[in-house]
Amino acid sequence: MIAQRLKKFPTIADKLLREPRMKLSRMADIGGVRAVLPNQEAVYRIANRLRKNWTITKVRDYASEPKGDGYRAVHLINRHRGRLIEVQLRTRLQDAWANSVETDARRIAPGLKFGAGPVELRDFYVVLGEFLANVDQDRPMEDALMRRLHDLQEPVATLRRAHDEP
Amino acid sequence: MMSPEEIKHFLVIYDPRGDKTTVQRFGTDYEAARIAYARAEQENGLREERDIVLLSADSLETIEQTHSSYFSGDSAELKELLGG
Repeated sequence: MIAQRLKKFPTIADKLLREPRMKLSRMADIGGVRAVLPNQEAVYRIANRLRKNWTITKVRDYASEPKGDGYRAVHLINRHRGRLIEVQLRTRLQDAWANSVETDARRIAPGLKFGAGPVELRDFYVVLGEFLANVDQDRPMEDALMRRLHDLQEPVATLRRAHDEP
Repeated sequence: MMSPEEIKHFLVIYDPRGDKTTVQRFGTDYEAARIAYARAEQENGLREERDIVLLSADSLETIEQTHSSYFSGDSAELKELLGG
């Protein structure tokens, strides 16, 4: 499953304002491609193939070293006709995680992707990310992780309900 | 394998007021999609309320999955794994 997007203009403008010396052609992620793959093994297989056949200038493996908020994926920066394009390779579950964060960020906590928002929601996504990584890589679940996930689900559900109420 | 000429373009506008997503379809006409996207951005100005994205894929169904946060929120698979 593959989709591509143009980055929204305010984000580009904001980035140029924050980093005025940055040239537009150097800004990765003006265009982006996202591929959603069945599992982690498939992600690495495609990443290796792209590294062989494309002009990949940078690889960020957030699957083996997740971001602090729990985000996992493999990002590659490809140079194409003088422009840098970010390619995001995600497993189905990593994509589901990221879309769930997007949804909660939009509806409940706008700063969620930048470390803000209710602590229980942030903790929930860190733990959920670990849980899904275990599923993706067929690893055994630790009881402590399952308990934490279970304990965080109710406060998160309460937050979501509170937001849904008129 | 899909060729670049077969890629379809969709302008997706999410409005948090009312939690509403609208989709305009442009088929394979990238130029029309690009113009509509630029116009929508211009009308929106630098305001952050509405999320405007130009997404392209083989079908709207693919977009609904790869960018599900604009549509249905949590995936069925995720809900199932979390027990509900």
